[in-house]
Amino acid sequence: MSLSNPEQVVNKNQYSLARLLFFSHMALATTILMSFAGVMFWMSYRATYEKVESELLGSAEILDEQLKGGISLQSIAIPDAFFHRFGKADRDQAYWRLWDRDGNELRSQGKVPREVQLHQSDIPKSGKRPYVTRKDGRHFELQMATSTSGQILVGRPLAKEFDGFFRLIGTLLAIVALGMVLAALIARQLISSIVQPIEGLSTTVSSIRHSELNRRLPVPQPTVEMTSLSTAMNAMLKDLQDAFEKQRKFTSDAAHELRTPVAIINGQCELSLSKPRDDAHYRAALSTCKQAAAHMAGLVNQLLLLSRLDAESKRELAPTSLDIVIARAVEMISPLASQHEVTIASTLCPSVVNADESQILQVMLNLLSNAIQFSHRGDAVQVQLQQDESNATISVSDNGVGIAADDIPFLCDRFFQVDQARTTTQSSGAGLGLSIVSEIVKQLNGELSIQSEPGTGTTIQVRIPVLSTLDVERQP
Amino acid sequence: MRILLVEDQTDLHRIIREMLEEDGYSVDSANDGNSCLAKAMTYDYDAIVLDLMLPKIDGWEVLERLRQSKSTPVMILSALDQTSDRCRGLDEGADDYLPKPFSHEELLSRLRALIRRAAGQSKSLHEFAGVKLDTRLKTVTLHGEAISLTTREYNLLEYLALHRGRVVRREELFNHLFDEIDEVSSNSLDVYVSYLRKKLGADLISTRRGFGYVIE
Repeated sequence: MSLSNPEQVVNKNQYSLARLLFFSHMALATTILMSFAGVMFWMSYRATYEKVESELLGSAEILDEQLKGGISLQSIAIPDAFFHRFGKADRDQAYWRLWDRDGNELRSQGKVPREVQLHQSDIPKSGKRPYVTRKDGRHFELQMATSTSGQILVGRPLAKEFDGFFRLIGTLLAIVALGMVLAALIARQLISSIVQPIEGLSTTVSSIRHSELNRRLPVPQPTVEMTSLSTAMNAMLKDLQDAFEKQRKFTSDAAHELRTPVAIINGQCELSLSKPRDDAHYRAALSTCKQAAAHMAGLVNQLLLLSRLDAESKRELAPTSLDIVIARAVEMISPLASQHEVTIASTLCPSVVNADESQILQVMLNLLSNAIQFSHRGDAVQVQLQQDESNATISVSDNGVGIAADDIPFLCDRFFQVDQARTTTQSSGAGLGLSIVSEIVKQLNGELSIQSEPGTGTTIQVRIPVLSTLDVERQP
Repeated sequence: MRILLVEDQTDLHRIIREMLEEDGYSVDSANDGNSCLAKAMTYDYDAIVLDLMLPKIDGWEVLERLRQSKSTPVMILSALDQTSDRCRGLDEGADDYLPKPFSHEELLSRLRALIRRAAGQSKSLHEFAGVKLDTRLKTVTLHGEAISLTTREYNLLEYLALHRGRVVRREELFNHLFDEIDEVSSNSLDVYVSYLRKKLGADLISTRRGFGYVIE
């Protein structure tokens, strides 16, 4: 069974499912049929020998009765009724021989096949089997003690019985052969109903290219297992599609964001070069270009940071003192704060978490610069660090413009920006700050929560699990 | 020619505005979808240069609402440059689509073409009564001799030439020649017409009393 995907690795020692199913099915069928035939033959064989034995015993008893009854030796004979039981043909007829107590042959009738002798050992006169039997080729003989202390042997060739055996063997072989053919047909049907859906699924799956991830596998399938496999693969396809879509959107958004500063630089240069200008114009033009370039540089740095966060699933984490890092972030952001005439008030308690120091710094700088940008002149931004048994909680609050409830769910989406009319200053961000915060917090197994009231202000809380003593011990 | 420029990024807005003004256009400004719609519904602009990512109402909705009542030529100027975005823009009623970053020359050429087509003309060279007007180079010759015109004079001549044979009403001329911050008195139009008659001959532009002006 070859599948359509040429890239698949087929090991020579690998069996196809169809072959495996066929051979195991056939092996099972053969075992059943052969055991049936064997048992049938054995039962029939046993029954035949028992019947022959009882008939021979019966005729021996009659001969013994005749001997005991004093009938002359010459008139002793197996009655016709028994002969008919043995079979009418000559080849089935019984023979017998009679000895006296001294072992002298008294009488013999029929074709005794060879020189049979008086039985050497004593033949039991009572018990379950007061006689001995002997199979000799196709002959069966029975020997017993007579009432006159002699011995009698009755035997016969089993010609018609052996004919029966051969017929039975023929019939059984025919039944086995027919059974095997039937089993093969059933196996084929069974295999196609199991293997075909798998092959169909495999063909469909391997035909799905990354550009057509919107395709889905047919559900329901003929079997429960295949249906659940299809459903699982459909769910996987959907995840893949979403991830691809997210990636595509991210790339196109990034390109879009980069295009605006490029358009400014390009447009300003073309405008300035279109005819001679005075010095003041060139100075203003260069300043515009410098600003646009700085904006672009910031954007590229943030994009780089985000793609690193996406790529590195695990960073080397180390015990980090949150209060020290936060104090440093506040210090670093203070020029921006004084530029906006915003003060920062911080209440910190000592707290140690397992984190990357530069990432925590990044989180704080992003949160603080957002808070400053959305504050009014003269406002204060509150920074708090609290700790309970399991979590350290950083909260950054401002009394600024706030965020509409409709916008809150999208705040961590990349490139999302609230309506610019709401910012108090010309917004310089690209809508990546909170995405970066959210990615970092996710990597630290933390939680990010945002409460905001338009006109009243915004509070953003970051909860990070603190380092318990157990975790400290686990550190290598 | 009067243009409405809709762009929310201040630097870019200033740059495009300067480009248009240096090419002789009167430029009105809008920084968001709301003010764009308000202005576009009030005046008959010769063209609207529209950004798509706008605060309050985005460019797509502006276009949709504008097209319910107005057929003003619209050029979309956007950083969205996917084929799907361009097709959507053109299908939803835009007349042209220029992706950012754009070239200065291309922006102006496309605008000229847009305005020319909207006036029912197909060439950028117009000839009438011995006057040759080149809208690409913005030059005017009379019987082969170059005539120097001020921007206002040139714009007045170009507008009348584009709508040759039709009587153009005075308020229409006002609307298309001056932008929202120009301070104009009611007789300034007559002054420019008289300058043009002096330079190009008295019978070029005829006056229809109570209506306006026409180049036959």
